[in-house]
Amino acid sequence: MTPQKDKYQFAKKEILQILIAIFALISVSMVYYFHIRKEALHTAQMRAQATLKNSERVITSRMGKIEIAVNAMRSMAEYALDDPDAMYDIANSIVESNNRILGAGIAFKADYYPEKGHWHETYVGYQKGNDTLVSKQLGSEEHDYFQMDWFKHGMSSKEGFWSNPYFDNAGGKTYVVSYCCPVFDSADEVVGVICADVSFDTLAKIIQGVTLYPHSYCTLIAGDGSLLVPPPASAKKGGKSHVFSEGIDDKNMTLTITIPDSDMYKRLRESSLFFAFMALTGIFSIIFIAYRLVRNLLKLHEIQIKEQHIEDELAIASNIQRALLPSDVLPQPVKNIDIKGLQIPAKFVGGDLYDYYIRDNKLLFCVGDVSGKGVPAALLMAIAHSLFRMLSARDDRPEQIMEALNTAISDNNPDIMFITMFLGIMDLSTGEIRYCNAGHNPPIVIRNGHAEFLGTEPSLLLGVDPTAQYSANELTMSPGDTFFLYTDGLTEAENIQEELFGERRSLETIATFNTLTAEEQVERMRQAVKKFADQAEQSDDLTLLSIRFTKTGNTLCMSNNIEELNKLEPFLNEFFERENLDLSILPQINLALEEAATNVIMYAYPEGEKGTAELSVEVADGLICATLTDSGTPFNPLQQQEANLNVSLEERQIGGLGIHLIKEIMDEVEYAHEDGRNVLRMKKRL
Amino acid sequence: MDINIVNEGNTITAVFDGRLDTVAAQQVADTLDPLLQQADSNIILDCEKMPFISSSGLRIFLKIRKKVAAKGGKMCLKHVCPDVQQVFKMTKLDDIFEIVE
Repeated sequence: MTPQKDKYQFAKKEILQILIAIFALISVSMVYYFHIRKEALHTAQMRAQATLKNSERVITSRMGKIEIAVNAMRSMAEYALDDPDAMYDIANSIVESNNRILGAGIAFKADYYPEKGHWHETYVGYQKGNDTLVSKQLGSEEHDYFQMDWFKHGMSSKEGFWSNPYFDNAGGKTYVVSYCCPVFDSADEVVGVICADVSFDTLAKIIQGVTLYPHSYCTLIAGDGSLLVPPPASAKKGGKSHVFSEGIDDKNMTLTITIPDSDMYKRLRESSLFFAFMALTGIFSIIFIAYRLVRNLLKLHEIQIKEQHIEDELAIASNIQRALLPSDVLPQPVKNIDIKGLQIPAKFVGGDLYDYYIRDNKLLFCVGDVSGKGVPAALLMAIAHSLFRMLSARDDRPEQIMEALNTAISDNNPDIMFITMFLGIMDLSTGEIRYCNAGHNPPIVIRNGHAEFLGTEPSLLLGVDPTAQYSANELTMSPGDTFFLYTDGLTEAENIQEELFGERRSLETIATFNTLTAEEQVERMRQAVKKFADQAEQSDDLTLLSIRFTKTGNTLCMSNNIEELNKLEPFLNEFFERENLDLSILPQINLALEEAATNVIMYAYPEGEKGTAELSVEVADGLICATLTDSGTPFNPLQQQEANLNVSLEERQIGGLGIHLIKEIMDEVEYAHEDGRNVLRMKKRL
Repeated sequence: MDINIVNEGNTITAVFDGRLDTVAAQQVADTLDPLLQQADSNIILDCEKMPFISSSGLRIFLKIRKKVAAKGGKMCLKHVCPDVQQVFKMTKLDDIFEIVE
């Protein structure tokens, strides 16, 4: 997956969390909204019911008064049944008893007063349009009240009741409801019906005064479903409403109150609008913040990817650089030296450089420091390293190698980077070091428990002047001496207080290293620096290289100069003394080894070429074992023709005695050509 | 290595003082020229103070011996120490050199 496609992948969790939070916020808001809405409905219901009850009480009370008046006059009518004309007074009394009564009538069954006709309904009521009371008889063929509901019901009823609304076209000429009561004669027979008419307007006035909400309104519905009091003209059409009702059972009516939702939920709407506004603001804020956060995270992520990339490359560079360092184990065990190098780069790749290898019984080594840090320094370091290997492969003069290095680096150095370098070549047999110092920190020499800086003045550092001349100096190591090289990562290591490790501390630390191995020395120094620096970050590469000359008396190295043979006798004397050997065989051993060494010195190397003969002796399994090694022309001395000893003086050869003596004296003599070297092994039983 | 050459009439005595090893043998080659020139004389090589001899030394002795034989002189070795005598033995030169006490 490419980083582009993967762009938001890393922030997936965060985005999901934000979405969940928004979803939760909306859900809670919804639940809360519906809860509040339910509450508002409940409140409206409670209020409506209270209002309806109240209105019912008012209506019942008003209508009750009418009922009382009608009932009272019914008794009067029953008492005065004999006098039909008295009925007008009775009806008049009803109308006058209550100003809400439009008119009152007493209707009798057919032919109850034969003299009055088939129909007889005594009626007193207000004229429509004025306040004048009129009395009249209403019953006629046109106004056949026998067929009317209120009369039929009244005649079959035992008590008073409210009629359904109807248009009173005979009396008030308006829509009315009537309270009707049967009229009984002395024999308890229903003879007629007494009624009081009430106009709708009267009832309307009562309930239209009820205002629960700004746009709520009441209606009154009769038992037959017709509207006694209709919605007011101002009532809103359309939109959802809630209707609550209360039956007025004994009045044969139902009272309703209609509340438009817009009124009922007005406050809820207002508060939810506010709430929604707040919530939206919150959500947008969250989205905005989240967007910024994700964008910043994205930037950070990209930077991290880039950094990771750089770090990966640095790690690769670091690995390549480490591969350039000499491996800890030399290709073959090397006599006479104990060597250990250590490099700790400050920032993955560093500009420090150290290397050593062995060629022709010589240790070639260098420690250097490239100016600057990071990849550029590491690259130059790699170049310098290759040049060191290349140039030192065929030259034994440190000053020549250094000059060639300097020229190569100076000639191609556009960024003016420079290198300090200490380069040395040590003769592994003699301990002689020839060295050249191009501006590098002076190495420390530990001798007999005393440490001191190498006093030689350094020459110009590499990379500055292509024509610079370098000169070499010499130092001979004695067995047990240490040559300790380092870079400024040691002397300039800082602690948190920005104090330097310094030269004095380096010397003091190293002075205690006398009896340690090279590895222990390097490790101790590393720990000393680490302890000193404490928490402070390592600011520069640290390179340490310890070379100990460990030659014991058991090896003698002679160059191919006949004078060198003079070293043999004292060497063997020391050896015999040290090993506490029988001195009687010393002259013989001396003779045999001298003959062998003479052969090498005189004949192993071509005329004018320098070379060495290395002799090592040891006692093992009751034998004196001597090994003579040289890097000269491969030659097996044992195949050399021996002098014939059994001839006369005249025939005796001058040469060939040496090899005969070796064979004669030694119990075992073997020759081998190993690793490009002539090796002659000689053994003598003690 | 020092060599002291003493002429007494027809007898030349060369006193070897020190080790006649390879290095010494090279150094003393010229010193012994008078012996070669007077190979017809009676030559005595005094080895009393010579504790060691290498094959190079033997070659010098052998060279003188051959010259003496050619010129009709006489040559003997005196006061040869056991170690050196051993070397003569190993090289069978004890047959060729006249060794006297």
